[in-house]
Amino acid sequence: MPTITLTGVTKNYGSGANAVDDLDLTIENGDFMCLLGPSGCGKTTTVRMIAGLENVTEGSIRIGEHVVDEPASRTFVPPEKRDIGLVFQSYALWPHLSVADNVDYGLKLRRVGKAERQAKVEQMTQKLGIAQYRDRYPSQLSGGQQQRVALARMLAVSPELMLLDEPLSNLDSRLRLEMRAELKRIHKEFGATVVFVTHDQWEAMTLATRVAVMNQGVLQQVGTPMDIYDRPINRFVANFLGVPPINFIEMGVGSPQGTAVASYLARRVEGAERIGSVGIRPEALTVERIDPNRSSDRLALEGRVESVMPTGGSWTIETAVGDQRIYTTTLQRGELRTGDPVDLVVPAAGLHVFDHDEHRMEVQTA
Amino acid sequence: MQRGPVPALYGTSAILVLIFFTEQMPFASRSGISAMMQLGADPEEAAQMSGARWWRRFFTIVLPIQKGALATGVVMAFISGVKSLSLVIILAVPGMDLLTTLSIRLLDIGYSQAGNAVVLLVAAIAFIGTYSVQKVMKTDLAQGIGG
Repeated sequence: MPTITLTGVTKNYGSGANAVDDLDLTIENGDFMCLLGPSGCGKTTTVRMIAGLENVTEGSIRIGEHVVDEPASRTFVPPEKRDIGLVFQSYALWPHLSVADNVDYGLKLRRVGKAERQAKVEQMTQKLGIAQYRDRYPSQLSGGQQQRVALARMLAVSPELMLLDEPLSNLDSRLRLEMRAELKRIHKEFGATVVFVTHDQWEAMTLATRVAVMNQGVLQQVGTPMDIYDRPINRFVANFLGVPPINFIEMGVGSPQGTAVASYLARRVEGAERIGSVGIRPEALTVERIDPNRSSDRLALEGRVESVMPTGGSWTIETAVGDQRIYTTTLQRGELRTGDPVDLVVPAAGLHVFDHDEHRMEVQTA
Repeated sequence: MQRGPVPALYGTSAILVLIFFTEQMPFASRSGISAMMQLGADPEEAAQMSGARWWRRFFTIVLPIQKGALATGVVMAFISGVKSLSLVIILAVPGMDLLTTLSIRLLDIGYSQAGNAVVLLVAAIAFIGTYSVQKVMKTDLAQGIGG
């Protein structure tokens, strides 16, 4: 599959703000690209524009060397000629066709021979575990089964580019886990390029080779999942990724924790006066009993344990620091009890510093 | 006698077929439109992504899914056509004026301007009614089938 290039893509539905605003994005061959963002951020619109179900208002979309949509040169290739597979959030199965006929439809259109078609339908339904429902109609299937039919229907024609629009959002958590593994396997096996839309950061982190975070139609950051998690480019991205969410400490509001962080960072950040807030991931913090002989060289926030919550394999500890609640995750509960005074110790590498405009600032960890 | 390219329809059975067709069209199409809106654009878009062009999509996806609603539209139109004829025959009494018969009567006695006014009134009522329903319910066919 050739590379997909979006250049300055803007979509406006004719009223109000741009649904997608000046988007530059390159999807390389073999990528599993996740478009991630809150609902209404323009990720579905982006996928629909790549599919050709929406026109771009400005900019251009290229698949390889071919321009498929560019209003400036009045170029538009309709979706049926783009050879792209799409799984809809609603699955959009055809209610009047059986499972086998749903899967067969695309093959029929491509004038594949009957024997070959039957073999392909058999293979696809087997692979996705829906062979026993071949003769049923979509309304007789559960959500998970319908989702697999939608996948089989797309995979049967082996498109080189697959677009998936929140395909797992209607499934229960166990099934979702299974289908996630299935998608990852399919991506490897078919060697296809996948563009996956989700508002679920966990899904994006586990599936994607690259993640594009969007907000209000504007692309925020593109990178590998760990890249984005470890080095969020702005406060929105830092806040959107992570469960429990990142803790923010505001500067310049005169809180003791703000003052402690500010004095710690004064020598470690260039232009420390521009710092607006500092984010700390829950797992970057360690909870320690207060040690009177602690070194003044490290950052420790004094607090009091508010609650200790089990989350299965780990614990989430809520601590009151000044007027603020700070969340920590840990594998060891230790002897902590509600009301215990503790130190929350933060290594310099665990600090995400943002300026007044919420952009990332670099911290000297040495 | 034929004047012009189209043969005169008055007095033929073709005009009855035509007039019932025309008369019932708005009601029949309404039921079709609401069924289309309920269906949404997804199934057709899915066919498009599978590589089906317009004709193919229409005949293999849209039409089969809509055939129930389509049949309902035809049957409803037929029944209401048959019914309306008999109702008028049974219930209309001499001296009862509908706007339409009133306009004919006015023309008959030579008040053509008054007759025109009545016709305009009928047209205005039909237009305002249809337009306001479309605005209130947001079901304008010109805006596509929704989705």
